[in-house]
Amino acid sequence: MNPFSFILYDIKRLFGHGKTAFIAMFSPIPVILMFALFMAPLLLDSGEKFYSVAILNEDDNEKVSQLMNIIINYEVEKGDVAVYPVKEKATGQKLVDEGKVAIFMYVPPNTYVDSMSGKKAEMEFYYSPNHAFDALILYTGLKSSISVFGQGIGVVNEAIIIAEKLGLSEDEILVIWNDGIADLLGVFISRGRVIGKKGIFNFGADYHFRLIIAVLFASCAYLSSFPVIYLTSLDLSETFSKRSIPAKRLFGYYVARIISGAVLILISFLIMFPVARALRNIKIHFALSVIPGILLTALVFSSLAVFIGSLFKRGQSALWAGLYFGTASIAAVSFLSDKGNLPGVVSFMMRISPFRASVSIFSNAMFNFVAERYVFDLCILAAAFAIFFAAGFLIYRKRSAV
Amino acid sequence: MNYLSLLKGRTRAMLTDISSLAVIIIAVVVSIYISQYSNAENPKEIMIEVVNYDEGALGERLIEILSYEEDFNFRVSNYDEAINNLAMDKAQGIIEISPDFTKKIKRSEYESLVKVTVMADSYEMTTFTEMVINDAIKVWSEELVRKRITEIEGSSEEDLDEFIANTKDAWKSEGLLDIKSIMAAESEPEKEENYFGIRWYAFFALFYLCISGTWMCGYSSTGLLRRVSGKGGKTSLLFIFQSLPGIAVSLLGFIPVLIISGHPNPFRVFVSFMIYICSSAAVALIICCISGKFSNLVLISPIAVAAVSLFAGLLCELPEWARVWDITSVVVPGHWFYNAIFDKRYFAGSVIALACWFLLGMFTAWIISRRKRIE
Repeated sequence: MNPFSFILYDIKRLFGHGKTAFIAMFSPIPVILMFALFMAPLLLDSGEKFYSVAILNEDDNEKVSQLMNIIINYEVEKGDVAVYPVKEKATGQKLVDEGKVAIFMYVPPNTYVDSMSGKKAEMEFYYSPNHAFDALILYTGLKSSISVFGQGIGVVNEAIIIAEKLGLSEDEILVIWNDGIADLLGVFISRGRVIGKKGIFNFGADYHFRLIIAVLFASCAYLSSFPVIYLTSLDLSETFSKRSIPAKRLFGYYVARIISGAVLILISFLIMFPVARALRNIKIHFALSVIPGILLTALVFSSLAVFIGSLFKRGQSALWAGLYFGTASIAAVSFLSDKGNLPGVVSFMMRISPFRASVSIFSNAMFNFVAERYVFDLCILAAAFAIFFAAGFLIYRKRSAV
Repeated sequence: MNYLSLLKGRTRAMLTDISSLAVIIIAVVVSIYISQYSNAENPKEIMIEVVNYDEGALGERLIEILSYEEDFNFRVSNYDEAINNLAMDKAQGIIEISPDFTKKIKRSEYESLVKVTVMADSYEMTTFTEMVINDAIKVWSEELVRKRITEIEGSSEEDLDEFIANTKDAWKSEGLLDIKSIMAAESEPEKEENYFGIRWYAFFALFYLCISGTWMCGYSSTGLLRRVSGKGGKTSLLFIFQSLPGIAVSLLGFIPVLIISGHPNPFRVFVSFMIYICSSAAVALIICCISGKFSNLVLISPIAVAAVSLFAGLLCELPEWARVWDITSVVVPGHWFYNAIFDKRYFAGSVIALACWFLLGMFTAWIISRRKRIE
């Protein structure tokens, strides 16, 4: 039997073993559907005007109008926002309540004068729950910027106190004041330039979306390896333990099992990958850079599955081990990966975890691509593959009647 | 038919099956942790590397202002160290302060003052870039105003010192302009307590009933069912007696979770959980029957349980736009348990859901056993 036939035979066995392989292969679909449901408005609106914003500015000061322009200019320029000026606060609120606009921004009278005279002024940001996900990203960014602007006013006020002490006339102080505020507004208009971006910089970013989609990717891939765990354990406790197989042939079976497992995992990736690309319209070079990560992840999870399957005499026990290991890995990456004060051992285990490397490679390669992290994650995956492959074969050989 | 001996046998089997028992033990520990974690203020520990190339003094000022940000830990290092730490997942972002940071700010320029590299390793990074831009703007504004003061005739070093002293903590104080978010009137107000510990325990308990239900996988084919039928036993009673130990263990595990959650109406929640867990046993029966064997069960149960719990709003709040979901989720037992937690009407609905799921479970078992017999 040539190596290709080995693999083909094993794939047939894997897929012919009841409905398990098919369940594993298609398991990403309900997961993605569940996820998509939470993102429904985002997906349904893609390609169209995203936000519709009603605005009521009851402060007739020119500076406030400028500030309002800054806030929404970037989105308007991108074509993502449609602005609807309203005449009454109740109208704006009603539009949001009825879901006709996503956001209503309200500037109360005297906002400018109050904030400049040392009194706290507060703008209002009404949002529709249908757009809670994106509206709140926008809001968090806005709040951060507006509060900095508010703090900046405090700094300008300190300068005014010194100017008064130095005996400047009211007119001269007004000039300093207006210049200061104009400068502040100016830098806010082009604040993206601070980090080398052109034009006005978007408020907030969807990093949590990227992390979730990467965790889903890796979790579904891991889940797809369960049939490999079960079938390996079954093979070793039944067929291979009873029949003597030459070491070379056994190695062939072993490699074939890892490759067929990887094929099964790759098929589930094939289902997930286009969905992720559609979800965020990922650029093609980013999408292509994920492919080495996908291939290595499939090989690592497959060899890990064969390793776990070889460790246990009962298929059920092997599946339990796989379930516990997977749950612990997913939970650790989802809830601990950003914690800086973990115990040294936990932190080290996290760093060398193939599951973390897999999640990181997807979130990194699909969205921003930091080459150093990408290479490190590839190395972790390659090392994990080598370790699981070697350790797995030792146990595989020991458990079978060679 | 001696159902009590069935109950004893099942109890013994369940208590000796450490693998599945561990699920409920872990569930209790995790739920208690969630109860405490979700109610506590959690310090953020996201590590950010700062590489200061600035040849002047203002880079240091930026680092000082950055250190006021409570959500992140900043560590000043060189580029090699920073990129290594980012690559090795020891840090989640890098801020590089440009060599001409001070020079540019002194000339009132703000082009490319800093370079930001962000990894999507944390849910908290959403406004990270925003924060860095704002902090750079703070340094820029300070310097600009300082420059304006020096331009005033008669200003001295003392005036500048006074300005620096007065504005040192300006960025720590509350701004004079702010914006508040308000969700549309039709939506429900944000809950003060989310009781995630109880809600997640309900999810784990359903998973436990499914994953420990291998006896239900064989139930629909031959084995136990055939033997019981042969002895004239009733399948519904068999299911009830066989399910009781799992239900009892789940209820026992619920007690510490409920106590630690600090729910003001524990009796009401306990009663609703009793009904919920009985309905969950019926849900588990359906999942196990469809799975047929353990290898399928480990694949189907996590997804099915997550879907059912998500649908009921137990794992997280349902999105407001999913009105259809909210209405249709009344068929899921978790919906009524959720209602009970948040002081809404639940009793009649949960009892009806229990009856429906029990009947549906029996029907599914019957259909599948019939199909198996034909095969």
